[in-house]
Amino acid sequence: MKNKMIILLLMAAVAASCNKYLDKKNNTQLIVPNSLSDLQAILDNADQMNNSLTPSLGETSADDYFLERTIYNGLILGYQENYTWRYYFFPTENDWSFGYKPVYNANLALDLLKNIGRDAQNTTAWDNVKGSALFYRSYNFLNLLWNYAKAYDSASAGKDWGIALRLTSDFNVPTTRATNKECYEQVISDTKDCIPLLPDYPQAVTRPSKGAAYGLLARCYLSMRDYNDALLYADSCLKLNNQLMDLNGDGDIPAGISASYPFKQFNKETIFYSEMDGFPSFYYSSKSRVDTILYSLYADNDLRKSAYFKRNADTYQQFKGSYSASLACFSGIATDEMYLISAECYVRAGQVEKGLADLNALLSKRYKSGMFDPVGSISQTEALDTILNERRKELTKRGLRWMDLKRQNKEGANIVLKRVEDDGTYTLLPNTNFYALPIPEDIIKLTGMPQNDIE
Amino acid sequence: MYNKIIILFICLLACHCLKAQKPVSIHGIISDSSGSAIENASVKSISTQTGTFSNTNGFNIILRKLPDTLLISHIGYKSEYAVVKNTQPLHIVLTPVDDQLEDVDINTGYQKLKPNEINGSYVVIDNRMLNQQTGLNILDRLNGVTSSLLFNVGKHNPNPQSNTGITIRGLSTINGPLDPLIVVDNFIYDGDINNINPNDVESITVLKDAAAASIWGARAGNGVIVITTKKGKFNQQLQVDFNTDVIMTGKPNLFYNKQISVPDYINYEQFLFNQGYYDDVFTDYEHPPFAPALQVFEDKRNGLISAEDSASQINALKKIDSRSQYTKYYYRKGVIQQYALNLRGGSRNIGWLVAGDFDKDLNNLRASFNKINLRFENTYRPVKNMTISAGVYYTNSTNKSGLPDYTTLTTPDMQYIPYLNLVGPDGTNVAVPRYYDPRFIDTVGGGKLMNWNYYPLEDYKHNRYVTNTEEILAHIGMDYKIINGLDINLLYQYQKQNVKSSNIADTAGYYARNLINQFSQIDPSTGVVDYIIPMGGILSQSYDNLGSYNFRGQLNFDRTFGKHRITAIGGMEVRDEWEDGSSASYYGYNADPLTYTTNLDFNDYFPTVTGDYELLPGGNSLSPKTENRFVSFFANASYTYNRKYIVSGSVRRDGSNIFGANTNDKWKPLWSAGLGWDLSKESFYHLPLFSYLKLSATYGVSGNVDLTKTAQPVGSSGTNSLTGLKIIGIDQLNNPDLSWERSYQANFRLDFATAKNIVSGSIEYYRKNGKGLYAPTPFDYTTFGGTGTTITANAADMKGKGIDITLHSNNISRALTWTTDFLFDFNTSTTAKYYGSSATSVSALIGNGTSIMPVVGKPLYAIAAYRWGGLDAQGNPQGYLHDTLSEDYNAIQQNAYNNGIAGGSFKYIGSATPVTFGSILNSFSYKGFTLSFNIMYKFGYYLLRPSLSYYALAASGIAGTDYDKRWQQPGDEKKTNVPSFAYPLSAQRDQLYAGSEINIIKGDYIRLQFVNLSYSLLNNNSKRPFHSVQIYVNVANLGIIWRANKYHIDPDYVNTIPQPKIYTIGIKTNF
Repeated sequence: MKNKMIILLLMAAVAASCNKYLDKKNNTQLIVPNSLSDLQAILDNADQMNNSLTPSLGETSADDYFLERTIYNGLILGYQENYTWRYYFFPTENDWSFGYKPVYNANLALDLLKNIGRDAQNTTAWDNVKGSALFYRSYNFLNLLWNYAKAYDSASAGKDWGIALRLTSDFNVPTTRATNKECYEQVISDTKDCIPLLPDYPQAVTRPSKGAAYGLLARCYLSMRDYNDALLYADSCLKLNNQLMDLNGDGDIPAGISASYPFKQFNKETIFYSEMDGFPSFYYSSKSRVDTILYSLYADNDLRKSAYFKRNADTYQQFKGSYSASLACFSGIATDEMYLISAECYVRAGQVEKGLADLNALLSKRYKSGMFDPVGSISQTEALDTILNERRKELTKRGLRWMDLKRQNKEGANIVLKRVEDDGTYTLLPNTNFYALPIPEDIIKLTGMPQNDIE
Repeated sequence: MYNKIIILFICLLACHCLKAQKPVSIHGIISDSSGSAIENASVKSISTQTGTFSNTNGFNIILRKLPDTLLISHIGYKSEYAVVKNTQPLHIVLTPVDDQLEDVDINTGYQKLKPNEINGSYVVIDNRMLNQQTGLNILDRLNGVTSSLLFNVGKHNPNPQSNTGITIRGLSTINGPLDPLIVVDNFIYDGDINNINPNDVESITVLKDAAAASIWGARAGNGVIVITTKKGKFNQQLQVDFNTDVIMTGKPNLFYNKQISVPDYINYEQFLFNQGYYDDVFTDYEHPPFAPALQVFEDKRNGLISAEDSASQINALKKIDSRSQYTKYYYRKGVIQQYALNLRGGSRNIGWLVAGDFDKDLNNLRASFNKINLRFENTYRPVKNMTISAGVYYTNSTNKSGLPDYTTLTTPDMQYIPYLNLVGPDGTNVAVPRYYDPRFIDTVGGGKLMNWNYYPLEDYKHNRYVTNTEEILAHIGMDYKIINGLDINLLYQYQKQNVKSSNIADTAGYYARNLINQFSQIDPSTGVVDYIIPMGGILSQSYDNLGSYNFRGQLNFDRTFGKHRITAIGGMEVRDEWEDGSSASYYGYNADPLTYTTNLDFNDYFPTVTGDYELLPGGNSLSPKTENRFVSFFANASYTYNRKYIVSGSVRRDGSNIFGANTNDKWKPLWSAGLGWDLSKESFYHLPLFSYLKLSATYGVSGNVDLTKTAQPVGSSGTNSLTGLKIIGIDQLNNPDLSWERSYQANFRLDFATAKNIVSGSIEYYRKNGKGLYAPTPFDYTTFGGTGTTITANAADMKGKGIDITLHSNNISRALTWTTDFLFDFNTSTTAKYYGSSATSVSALIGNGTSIMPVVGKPLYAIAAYRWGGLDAQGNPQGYLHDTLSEDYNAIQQNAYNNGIAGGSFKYIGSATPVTFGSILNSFSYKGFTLSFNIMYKFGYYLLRPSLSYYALAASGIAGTDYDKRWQQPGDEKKTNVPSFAYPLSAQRDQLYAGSEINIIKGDYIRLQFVNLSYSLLNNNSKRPFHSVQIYVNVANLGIIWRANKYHIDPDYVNTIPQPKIYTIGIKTNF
């Protein structure tokens, strides 16, 4: 009896001490990513790759909206400063951290991909992971550059500070700040590398595709004021998708343009889907009003007047035209933007007719049927002005205006921003240092990276 | 089921009463060794359990038959048995006990020990002490009667294993779980502690130091609470205990927190309204509700009502106070009824216990709770040297929700409205602004929608949360004596708890009406309504299943060889605990006849009446299964020489699957060692004052595991509802070096007793060192992005030290007995090492005190405050920048953050938890009456009192304590410290005042925790059906006797409402 007991006890001990017993995963939902499909799933996680992530502080600093003074007076610490181009610091969860979230995931996928061989069976999947990761990283680098670095200037790009080029998921590698030149070169070369790896059309527009990569390059070159290359890639992008929604009636505008949010999410114009982060919220919430000058630019027959805006009781307009079908501001790549890049670049290259053709193709879908007079027979300068105005009107609240202000001022547009408040009048002069927004102070302290000059 | 058991009990009782009897009367005297008579000694017949008390003339007792055995017992003396074979008078001599504590069993969960065999630090709360307090929760009964155990009140901690609020000897961790390990009988208990009925508990042992607790290994760092349940015994007559009581709770005092008066608040709203503060609310396309006064102001501005009408409407509103309304219509007196029946008995080879409990609770918000517990415990001795025990503990409880807490009845912007009528002039329950502007919902559907109002006094009837908890705790064990002194013990326990939560919302309630309305598709031309959500109720159900099994094999050795005594145990155990669940929603639900729909489209967006596109809420989901496994090996041994010297030690290794990455991390030896010396047994010892004196010292280490932490780079998976693609989210940055927290503790203990045990007790001094504690180490979030700015690492250290003193004195031991239990505890727990911004920035402590904020060298719960420079001539608050007065509030905050204390903007105040605490329990007994009352005290800590923030007042409708004392005109700055109102609102200006040193109060207080009065009647008359009856009355939460603050604030309830007084009346009978 007693011997049997001891044997039983010993057997239990041996069996249980077996490490296998302790190798049991402690949560069935926890996944240690290691397979290609896991890596693809990391990149498919729209909440960490697309939704509410691209920087918004440029948009909050730009001139497409304003706050009524009562609202301004009610803003808390930092928000007033941000709205009026004064130094601010938002600790913890902020624009910077949102922007680097997709960068981490992309880097993790790239790092883990090194452990997985590319073979005949997995070529497509492997390529898609690699191409997607490169795209996501570049896409977010570019957005961060537009906000946190000076406008690209080929003359000074080698000296101007860019952003932190994180190229690994290992948090032990210290973060350093690269120059604008290094940053833009990285974006361009990675995006070019991903083109052959990506499919022409994605399974869902939250995923990168060849079209998205062309669009990203068009955006990138445009912001560098390299209009020839921008034209080239906008054109390639439109070759894959040149569909436009007709505001007079379209399957992607199911309830008509007067609906609260008229445009379907993932509509036919969307090539790549992303949203600006909702931080701070005053730039897109019910607090925000559309700049009155901008609103006055829309003609009466322009259907965007009803599709984009809603009149408030205080007579000012509120924006409702996001391609997110919600309050969140769509910041992704869409065909309308490509038409406008193409139009602008043609005109800048002197091919005014071709440029206007692109513009008219877009506007014909934006005006009431039969009420649209195509733009024609105007000078290069007039054509450029018209296109830039149309760009602002079409792409309002897309996270592009801050970049446009920067590059247009570099071109000599001399746009002065001004906010008049109870506590003072604030102006932002063209090409001033504040166009490179302050990097969060805690990051500066932790990493020792140089802060942007704040006047 | 319940009825059957009662019938069974009645049958058993009937059998018991039918025995043949031949009574005889016996006389005896009881004295001590000097011959003086001992009064009030209990004399009890073993066979019938009837008894009496002695007086100076001895005692007379009627025995039903001879022979019989009498048990004579008296506090402070060893109990004696006297065999009665004939009717001769008896003379019984009682001898005083050396050490009264020797009678107490210390159950560590692995072995039962006598106090003089152990070097570690423990405290035993026996049944008598547990019954000093009433209520449904067993752990609550430890409050105020347990040395070194503190209930932290008003503190917040996000860790999921921090539910009890109990700390033993202060804190052992900064970010890890705070709960002590709860053990029921032999195994860790992870179920709902409310399942354990206090009537089924025999005693509780609290293991305090590392030597006592380290046998429990990696989860024992916060101390261990071992709950021992009642058991059947061999050779015991049938015993029936019946206990019932009624507990009544008063209404809470909603006026305890001073608030801005309603007329003042409406004037305040008017001012803000005139400034345009609310303008965006009126134009908000989401149509939020707003306070009734704002509607009046808006109507007047729009010319809809005249100035006179506006004034009269406003005056009417100013007469309403929501708190009166809630007190009158919302709250009721709460009533708890408890019934407990316990039968036990045993023969030579079988000991058994059957118990049934029923609790019924209707609280003051009309939530109900019903619970049934059933217990079966059996011990068999099938052959010599072997015992087998088996038992089942079954719990079934049902909780039905009542009214929601009134502070949650806010608008979606968290605005509380202080002037709401809940009942209209005609006595009907009225709607309040809650989710939408009432005028919007009146018109939006053009009459096609259901009523969209929210009725607070009606809604709870139509939106009920019903939670049913069922638990089975079953165990089987075998003990076999191999040779004399060595036995083997095998134990297995299985636990399963199923919690089913249902939310039944019918169309009379807001929840269902709101969803149906939101998704109603009204054809603008025909007016036909298409209901995406079918008309009818909504049933949401979720199931949460929790289970565990434990197996333990253990060898026990206990032998005495002359002057040498060795006790040792060694063994291994396996524990597997898991949890999973599921949820589902049913629309168009009707219970009888059963109808429901499941084929709703949960994947597409639908346009809503309020102008959004939304997904239907609900749908079916499965919770991931979590499973934690532990394998442990343990041993401890103690060697006693000549009953004077004790050397002891323990070792334990734990493995777990929580840290999957690195196998080396899975194994972690935890150990302890101790020395003890019974000084009073030495031949040279001759201190006449102390008859017993023992010194002991221990040192050891135990662990603390956060079951939610993991070292692996893990993601959680799912499906994106829009794209349908499989997704993985990396939730936390992996740290492959993550390990368990370690808590080292040294303990020095002195036990003593004076002659005849008039005063006995212990004094202990301990030092704790927490090493490798989990700490969110700030990291460069550029590397990971997202929401986190820190990574969890074993990066922090802490230091604690303290003194525990317990004293028990028998002040009077005559017909009247008076005993006093005195508890004194001193503890400090400070951060020793921490990284990141809060580590050196004392400014993080400004306005803090309710959560753990690690600052090196400061207590874990600590508080700091802005220096206060008074008000200027305009009533603006003034702070300091270095040593100059300043009104640059932004600069003051920056200066505090950047320059710390040296910047001169703020000062460190002190600990925010009591450094010194304890209690004094006095008990008086005379004849059958016992009166006891407990006084608790807490000293040496500071709190921030609620004051005034204009910003918060505008945003939330509360937080206006000091409003009537505010600066209003020049000269007021000499009389008040409350800043003037200024617009635009400035959160920083408000923060300076609210967080300044003038609003810090001392927390010190003395409180009368409870008073307990009982009357016991022992049976001297065999015709009565019972052996003893005890009637008791208890009053708890009697309030504060003394407090250091002058604001009449109860420091345990600074921002909340104090617990109302609780009255209990009950009866205990023994058959």
